[in-house]
Amino acid sequence: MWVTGCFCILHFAFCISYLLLPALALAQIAPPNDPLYERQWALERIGAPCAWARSTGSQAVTVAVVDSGVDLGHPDLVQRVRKDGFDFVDNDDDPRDENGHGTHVAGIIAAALGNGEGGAGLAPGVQILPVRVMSAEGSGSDRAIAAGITYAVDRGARVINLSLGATLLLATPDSSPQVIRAIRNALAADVVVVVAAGNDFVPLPNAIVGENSAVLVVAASDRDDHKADFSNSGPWVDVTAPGERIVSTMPTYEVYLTSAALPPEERFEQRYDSMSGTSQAAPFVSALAALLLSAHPDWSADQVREAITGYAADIYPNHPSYYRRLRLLGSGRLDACAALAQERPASNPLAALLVQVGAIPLAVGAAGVCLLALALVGAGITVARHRRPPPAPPLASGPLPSFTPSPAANTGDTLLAAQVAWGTLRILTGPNAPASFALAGAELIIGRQSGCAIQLPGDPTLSRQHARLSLRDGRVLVEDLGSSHGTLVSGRRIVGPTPLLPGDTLTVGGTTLRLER
Amino acid sequence: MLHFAFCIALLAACAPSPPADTEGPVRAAEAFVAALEARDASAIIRLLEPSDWRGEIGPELRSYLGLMEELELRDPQYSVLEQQGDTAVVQVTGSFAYSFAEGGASGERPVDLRVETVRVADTWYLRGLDLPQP
Repeated sequence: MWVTGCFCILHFAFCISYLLLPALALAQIAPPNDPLYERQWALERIGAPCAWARSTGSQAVTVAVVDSGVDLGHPDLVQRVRKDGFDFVDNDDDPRDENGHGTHVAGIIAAALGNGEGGAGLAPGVQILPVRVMSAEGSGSDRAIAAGITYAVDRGARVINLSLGATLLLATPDSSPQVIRAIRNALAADVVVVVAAGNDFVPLPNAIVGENSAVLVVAASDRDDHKADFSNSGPWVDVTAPGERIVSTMPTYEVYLTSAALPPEERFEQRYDSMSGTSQAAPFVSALAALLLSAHPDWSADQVREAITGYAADIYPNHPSYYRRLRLLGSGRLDACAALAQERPASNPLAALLVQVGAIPLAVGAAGVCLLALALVGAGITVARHRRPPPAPPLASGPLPSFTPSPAANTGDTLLAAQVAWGTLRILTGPNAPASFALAGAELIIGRQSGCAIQLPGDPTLSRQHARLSLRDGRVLVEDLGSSHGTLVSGRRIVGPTPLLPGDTLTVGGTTLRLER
Repeated sequence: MLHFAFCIALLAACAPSPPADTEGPVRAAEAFVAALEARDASAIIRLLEPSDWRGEIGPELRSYLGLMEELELRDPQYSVLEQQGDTAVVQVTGSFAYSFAEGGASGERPVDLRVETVRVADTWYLRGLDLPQP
């Protein structure tokens, strides 16, 4: 009898576990009672209510907001803000927000859900670690940013959100090595890095991406799933998230962005207001990373990354065809519902799609934001614990023919057929005229400089000596030479000698070429 | 009556179309560059095509502008590449000289921009920026 009873109880529990709970989890929860929720179009767009049926986030997961600080007493954040934040601007333990930007970012991630106050964050159950690295006016030094990243990792943050511009983001040789180093260390500590695509108009990948290929780069979309006018885009974008007219928390006291320091038409409201930018898009990705880590504490950051990109919604039909061809918006628009519904990460056909990457038509918008252009790559960076992806697979093809002595510089005007030894590089897109280059010799340098074997003088985004091609053990390897804009193989930034297979695309600066046998 | 209407239509078709306003788009592009050089976020925002998010991009813009110590477009050239009614594309070429506020690093980069402008209520605004299409 006792055994039978136990069996019945177990059977009932089984039924509940395997039948009822999944059904409950898939059910949409009722709209929350937060009065501003109906203005938070992005939450519905990315399937937040569906995701919340799976997880609203665990307190065990901390997202560090490395930004301008956070309003520690905001009624929508106070229950979620950790008390051990730090201020690297004033070097004290008071990371209160004096600008407003950081509080806005924090609210997108973790504003309380269903408390009848303001709006809701995507991951309202996780904790926020406030780390102040930006001044009241909104600028931050590389030193402070690097220190903030290190602090966040040391404090156990599994996700770090940076939505700021700094010289570290400039794709120039002047990029901050200390910040890049700090992010590299975060990656080594199993941290996933998500970088906002920025709001600039120059087709430059974020310098951080170049050094740390495991980061997730986020572009911004609007409520119609179009690329936001102000958002940058490019083959280095991993995923797109809402970034236009995003309602979130603002400090409950006067700060720079709510003060008379700004013209009335540019001034923000206290407590709650909407902002636009890729700084607003990145926190959605941070929040989803936190939700995934809450639901799957054992997942590596790689798995989190795969789930985010693998289940993104295809928004390419809303854009000109070259967007998909060049993969300018990554895997598509963030879909929290789809990502949370999976038991394990899987690859999105879009994400897996081998695409040709090319010179980015930049479309940028918001004018200026960016202009600063020159080299400014903007804003938000999100860091989460991550494991670096496995190295590129070895070359599978058979031995290549032996090569001939290094030729004189190719002009690009003609294919030097007689010198073809280990393939040719053909220009697919870019500012230079279509041309093919014979690959021969022990190694070849691609660059703008006249001495380069493959000289592309028409591409101003190319470094003087940009990348090196070499033939080692029958394999064609490509290596970036510390270029300003990085080198990509089939759309991925490379960080060391990387095999280049026939059919692979090679992007240097604004020029994309394809290796052909 | 039909014949009369036809003549009117014919006359209208043969009448010279009003000259394209190339000055307005160029002036908008020049103002944009001037605002950048002055690192004046408010001026840039005012030049953007009116939209509900125009003022909301300010924090991003100010943050970026705060990084720059100096910004100057040298040897600027402005020319209208195309114009269709209330939209026009202005080509801006030259060389941007810059220096960063932190660390003092400086440099100079050639630029070849396509500034898309749009006329709204007789005022030309910036709609977008682009580089030459490959």
